[in-house]
This record gives sequence, structure tokens and C-alpha cells, in this order.
Amino acid sequence: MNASRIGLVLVAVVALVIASMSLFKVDQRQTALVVHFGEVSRIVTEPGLHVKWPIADEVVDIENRTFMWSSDNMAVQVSDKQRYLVDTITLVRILDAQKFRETVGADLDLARQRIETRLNAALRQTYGKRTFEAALSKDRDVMMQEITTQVAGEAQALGINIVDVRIRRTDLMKEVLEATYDRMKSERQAEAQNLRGLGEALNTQKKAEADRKVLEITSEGKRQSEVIRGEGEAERASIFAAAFQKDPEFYGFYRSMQAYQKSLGQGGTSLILNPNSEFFKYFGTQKDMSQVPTEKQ
Amino acid sequence: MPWNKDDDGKNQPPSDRGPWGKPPGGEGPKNNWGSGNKGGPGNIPPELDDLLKKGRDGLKSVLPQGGGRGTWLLPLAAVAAFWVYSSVYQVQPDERGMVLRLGAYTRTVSPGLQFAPWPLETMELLPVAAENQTPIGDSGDEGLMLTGDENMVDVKFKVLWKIADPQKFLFSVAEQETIVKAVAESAMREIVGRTPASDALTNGKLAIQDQVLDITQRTLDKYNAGVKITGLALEGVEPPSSVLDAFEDVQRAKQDQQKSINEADRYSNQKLRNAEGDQAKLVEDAKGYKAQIVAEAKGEAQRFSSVYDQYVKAKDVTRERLFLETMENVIGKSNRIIMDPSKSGQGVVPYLALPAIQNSTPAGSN
Repeated sequence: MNASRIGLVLVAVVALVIASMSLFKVDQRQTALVVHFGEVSRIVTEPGLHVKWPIADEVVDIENRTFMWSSDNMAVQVSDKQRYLVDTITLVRILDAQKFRETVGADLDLARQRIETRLNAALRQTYGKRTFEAALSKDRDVMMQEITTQVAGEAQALGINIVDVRIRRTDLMKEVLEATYDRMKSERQAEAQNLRGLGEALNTQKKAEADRKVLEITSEGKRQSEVIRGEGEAERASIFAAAFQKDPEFYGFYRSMQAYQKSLGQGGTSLILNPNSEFFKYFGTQKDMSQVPTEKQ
Repeated sequence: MPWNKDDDGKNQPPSDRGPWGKPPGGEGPKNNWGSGNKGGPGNIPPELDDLLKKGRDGLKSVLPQGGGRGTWLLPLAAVAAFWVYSSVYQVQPDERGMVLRLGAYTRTVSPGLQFAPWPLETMELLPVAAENQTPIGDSGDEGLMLTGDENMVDVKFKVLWKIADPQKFLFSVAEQETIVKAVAESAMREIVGRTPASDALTNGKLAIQDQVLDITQRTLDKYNAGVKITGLALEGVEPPSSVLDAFEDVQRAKQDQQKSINEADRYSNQKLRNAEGDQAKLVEDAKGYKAQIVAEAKGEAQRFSSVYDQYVKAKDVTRERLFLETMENVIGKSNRIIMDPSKSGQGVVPYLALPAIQNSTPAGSN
């Protein structure tokens, strides 16, 4: 009873060990290579449970999804001799697991090295044909296509399908980058200078304009003033003329009297008078007195 | 998946290893099937008790009755508990469970408590409703990009994406988030490379955003990634930090310019208002002068007319009177020297120095 139970357990354990050694699971996301004493005996693409020889067969799992490599800082030279650093991403998928195993021993790193060498050459060739301006913008799609095509051949020999090669970044070399920064800086400085200069020019211009307008306004004022004054003087003249015309001779006399009064009547004037003048006609001797009226008549 | 105890470790699902044997973690999307473990021991749902009980009853009926029953039962119960623990999955409301039977995809299950008997089946949980955010340009000089006119700008943005097709997402690409990020960055650099810096820095942002989203989506579709780009958030496009100061100085220069213009406006306003005042004053002064002289002229004319009216009445007398009155006033206030030119014969010239003599001898004749 007891012995048979132990025997049962033993059989179960042995069966389990054999089963574990001869069964293997293939994931949906993998391809399995069954290697029989170092030789690829078959490729299992169907996911699920599969059978192999225990010990003699070894199973190698290979990714069957698309995955990505990035290759950074590859130096390229464009047709105008300028050098740039390019980063790319490569999307790959292992299509032929057997080839992959046979050529590079299912070693992804080795495969990557070989493909990157090709990629590097393809990049340099593709960039070398173009000016930087074209490479940076309008030709980018075409270039990525070209590179993909060039790399695809090499990859195919390794059982790998190149799904896509994309240029991730195109960068200036470090010293060119510094020069670019300096240029950007000086461009901005020039712009700032220009803006400030323009401000000052406008300032001067506006002030000069103001000064001119000031002159215009004041001289217009002076003009108006002169016109008004002239009108006043003309009116004055006409008023005088109208009044004095009545008797010009009397006006002459009257005005002279006023002028004498005004200019000599303030004192401090020395007069040398002739006793024969009209003012003195009654001055002096009686004979003179008798003489004067007769003279006058 | 620590519970996933495959016999020899070879058959582990690749998502745990990455394409070339990288250790799990760090690579995948942050909330990618990490949260979706099967409710650890702490929150075993009540149904589990029933299951355990059922299992135990089943065992009871299978196992031969008799001695050593307790020693058999304990490890069996532990194995059963572990089995249930490995086979029951809690699918969260924003997740889908992808069930693989012996590595082959069989079905997608909805949120709720789901059963996938281990080791026959395993389940992977995908957060299909969650929106993932992948930031680009956050660290270091990752965001520095060359523009169409060979300037540099510093771009910072986020890609927002969802799992659109869980089957494609899980089975056609590895390292999904890394690829999303790389493709979006590549697209951004492509578009910025076509845009002049001045546009990228100012009003070209919306256009950039749309184009990058479009290219990214198309490229990912080409890879069958099962990813839907739900949005692209352009968080900042700035000049690189080393030239930022020069860019800001341009802004300051604009303000300086405006200040300069304003100052000139102030100057000219003041000058012009003053000039207008001066002009008005000149005109007013002239008007005053005109009014004055006209009024004076009228007065003078009137005065003359009045005198004349009287003069006409007695011409000789009036004339004589005016003459004498004037002379009286004039001569009376002056220094007078009366001489007879007919006697001296030489006129007044010899006597011109007389006032000086008179001043030194004030007692002289007046």
C-alpha cells in the first residue's frame, strides 16, 4: 500500500520531468528555433505548446514584433562641405529566423553592428548628394526612403526586414553650434540696435517737425499781427485825412503848435531868439512898436 | 510576473524582457499593465473562498480516505490556493485583458473578475482607456532643434496617446512608448526644420502642432502600432538659453523705441501748444494796438475838428492866440538868449558854447 503509493509518486515525478524537457511554449510575439545538436532543425512560428527532443533539442526564442534601434551621432557631410551629426531610428523585424540564426548566430548585437555599418555609409552617401537646406527640409522623406532601400539589402541577407529608417535629428557640430549661437545673438543685437536707433531717429524727426511748426505758427501770428496793425494805421490815416482835409493850412499851423509844445515845452532847451521874430514884435522901442504894425500890414 | 513560474524560464513572455533580453521595467508605458495584477493576497475577492472550498471538496473525494489525511491536505490546500491566486485576474474598468493560451492569443476580456487557468492561460492587462503622456524636450538639450533658416530653437512638447487596438499594440511592436516618442520627436524635427525660426517662435505653432501630429500618426499606423495619437501639446518654443538674453533685449529695445517716440510727442505737444499761445498773443496785441491807434486818431481828429470849428469863426484871433500861448509855454520853460543877427553880422555860431558858460555862472541873465 505504502510502497505502491511511493511508486506512483515517483512515476508522476519522472513523467513531469520528461514532459518539461520535451514540451515548450511559443509566445505569440516570438518565433522559436529548434536547434538539434547545434543545427537548426525547424522553425516554429505557430504560438502554443510544442514538442521537442529532450536534451538533444534546444529552443531559441526570437522576437517577431517590430522593434527599434537608435543610432546616434553619425557624422555626415553635405555637398557644401559642412558637417553635421545625425541620429536615426531604425525599425526592424526579424522575418527569417533561420537566416538570422545562420548568419549572425541569432545575435542581435552582431546584426545591429553590421546593419549600422551599412546605415552609416548610406547616410553619408545620401547627405553627400544634397545641400544642407534640402537635407533638412524638403528632401527628408526621399532621403529616408533612399536610406531604407540601401540598408534593406544588407538586412535581408541577415533575415531582417527594415520596416523604416527615420532621421531623428540633424545637428550642427559643436563648434558650428557655437558660431550659430553667436550669429543668432548678433542678429538679435543688430535688431535691437536698429529698433533703438529708429526710436531716436523718430524722436529727432518729431522734435524737428515740432520746431518747424512752432516757427510756422509764430510767424503766422506775426503776419496776422502786422496785417491788423497795418489796418489800424490805415484807418487812422483815413480818419486824420478826413478831419484835416477841411483846412490843410490851419492843420499845418495847429499841428506845429502842438509839436512845439510837445518837443520844446518840457524845459531844458536853449533857444537863441531873434528879437525880430513875430513873438517879439511888440518887444523893444516904441518906434519899433509903431513900426511893426505898419510892417505887417 | 513573479507568479509566472515557467518550467525552465525560456518561455517567459517577451514583454518582460524587451527584444534583446533587457530586464523588465523602466521601458514600457508607466501605467502599462503594471497596475493590473490580480489583486494580491490582501484583496482576494469573496468568491475565492468558495473556489477554495470547492477545490478542497473535490480533493477530498479524489483522495483515498484514511490515515495521514491531515498531512496530505495541508500542502494540497496551499497548492490550490496558489493556483487560484495565479488564475484569477481583476480587470480594471479602464483595462482590457489579453488572454494567451500557451502563448497564443485567444481572446480579449472586459473589465471585471476574470478567470484564466494557469498555467494553461496567462493574461496581460492593457490600460486602453488611459491617456498616456510622453514628454519630449524636458531634459538637457533634447529639445534643441535646427530651424529652416539654420537657427536653433528649444522645443518642449508632450505627445498624448492611447492604445487604439490592443491586439496590434501588444503583438506588432515592442517598446511601444519608446517608438512613439522617437517618431514624434523625428516628426517635430522634420517640421521645425522646414519652418523659419521667427515663425516657430511666434505664430507658426499651431501649424507645427497639426503637421507633427499628422506625421506621427501616419508613421505609427505604418508600423501597425495600434496607437492613436490623441493630441500634441506644444508647451514651449523658445530661443536656446544661451541666446535668450539677446532675444529679450529686442523686446526691451521695442520698449525703448516707444519711450523715445513718446518723449518726442510730449516735447512737440508742449512746444506746439506754447506756439499757439504765442500766436494768439501776437494777434491779440495787434488788435489792441489797432483799437488803440484808431481810437486815438478819432479823438485827435475830433479835437482838431472842434478847434477848427471855433477857428473858422474868428480866424486871426484864434490863430494869434494859439501861437502866443504855445510860444509862451515853450519859451517860458527854455533857456533863452536873445540876439540881433543884424548887429552881430555873424549869426549864432560864435555863441554856441554859451550854455556851458551859463551853467558855470548861474547868476547870469535869464
